[in-house]
Amino acid sequence: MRRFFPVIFFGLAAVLAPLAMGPAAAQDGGGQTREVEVLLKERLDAVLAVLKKTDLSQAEKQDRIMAIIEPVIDFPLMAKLTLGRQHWSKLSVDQQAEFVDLFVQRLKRSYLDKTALYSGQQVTYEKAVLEGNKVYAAMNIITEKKTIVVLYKFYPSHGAWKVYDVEVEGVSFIKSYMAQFNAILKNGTMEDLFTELKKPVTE
Amino acid sequence: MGRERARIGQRVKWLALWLVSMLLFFSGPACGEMEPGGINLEATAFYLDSPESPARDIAPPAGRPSEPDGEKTDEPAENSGGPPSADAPDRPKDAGDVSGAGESDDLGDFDDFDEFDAPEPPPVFDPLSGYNRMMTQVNDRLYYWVLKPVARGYKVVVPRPVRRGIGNAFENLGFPARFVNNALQGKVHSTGVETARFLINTTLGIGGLWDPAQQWMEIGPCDEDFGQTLGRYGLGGGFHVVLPVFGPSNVRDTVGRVADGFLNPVAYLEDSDTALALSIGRTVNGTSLRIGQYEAMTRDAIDLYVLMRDGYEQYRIKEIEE
Repeated sequence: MRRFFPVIFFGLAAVLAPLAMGPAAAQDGGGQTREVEVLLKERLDAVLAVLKKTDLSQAEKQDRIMAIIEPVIDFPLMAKLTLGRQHWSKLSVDQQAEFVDLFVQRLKRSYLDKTALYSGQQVTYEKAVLEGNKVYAAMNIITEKKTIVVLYKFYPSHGAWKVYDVEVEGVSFIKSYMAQFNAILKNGTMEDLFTELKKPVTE
Repeated sequence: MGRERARIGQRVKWLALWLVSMLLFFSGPACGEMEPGGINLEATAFYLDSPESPARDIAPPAGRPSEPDGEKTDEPAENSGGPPSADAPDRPKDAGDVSGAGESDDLGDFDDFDEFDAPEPPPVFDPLSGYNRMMTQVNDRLYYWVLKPVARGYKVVVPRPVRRGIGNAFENLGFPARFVNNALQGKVHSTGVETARFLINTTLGIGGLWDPAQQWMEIGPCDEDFGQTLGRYGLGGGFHVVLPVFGPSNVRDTVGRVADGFLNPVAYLEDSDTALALSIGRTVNGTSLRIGQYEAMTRDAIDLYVLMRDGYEQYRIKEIEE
């Protein structure tokens, strides 16, 4: 009988654990988070519908997806944030424009590359969370073995909500590129970075 | 007669064990499911609040330039300071119209998004960077030249259900490590779930080839390793180490990997050739199920090593937080 003790203990604890967790933290406002939830779900459901289509070529799919998400993702702001305050302020206006142009291309490709990983899995949406004046909303992709969390971070821009960063499994687009930029700019110049960005993306 | 009785006693014990574990996972949501309370969100928001995250406390972070101190050059005064109010969608500054004029000095954006204002340059202590870069390249070539072609060939020969079954069986063997690490982290529910999964999948799932726990009862695995356990108790990652074949890691997770190795039944096979063959089989089988993922994650790399290093550390912080 003694052998069963741990099992019974686990069983009891498992019953008690959800009770101890208590209700989820109350959301304040609610209107803003709700707004973002609806927006994200509407857009992503449209994206998934395109991805599920079998009669479209890869390029057509990508065009359609971009048309859906571009209005809600602030790519130029992402480019700027990625470069970071210090590097950005050193650029001339022309250089800034060139950088944004180059990097937005790259970001879009990067986003589209990742959508290609989707192969019809079930998707659920989390409740959005208010963080200061930003709203974070997460989508879960339920794969066979694990749930992949894709977090979209929104900020209020001229009366509309726009995405300024995307995290896949905790890995932020902005932070990942920022680390790479910092590595290049630590020993190199802005020109080096531009050269790297101009290189075609290889397989 | 006595032997007969002992055998029946044994069966009753197993049955009871099974019943209790059934009770256990119907009592709460499995950890593969969504946890109540948005735990994932909290985890991702983690490093916004605390720059001294456990996995990155190698070097003390320099002062965070989060406040607009001497930074602002000649930006309009109305944008400086003041926490952004939660309901002000019409901010005066916006980078949305970069093509337009007058966006050159709007450093206000950086104040509004100071979550990315990590101490610059980031305090990355990377004494092995030379070796790490080299090994990242080696692993990359190994993937494209060896692993991927082999896995592709294997994929042609072995149908997907079989490959999934093999993957499941290997995963089932990881039970001791997951059990111990869940227990060490005090995750009582997850420990029970893992036990239940092991019992169900080993019996009903015939040695773990199938995953009825997941498919019929929706009990997902609760993956924990010793690196996560150490991180849970506040141990930082230490510097980054790229392992041959396995890829990005750090000091803590390398130690964790070795420790978990002792809990891997394959390591206790007497014939080391068989053990090696099994490990290779596992890698090839796993790769065949994941072809395309590495490509999608790394295709846009500007600096492959830094992308992998930074991505790995961000990912581990999230895993440890969960």
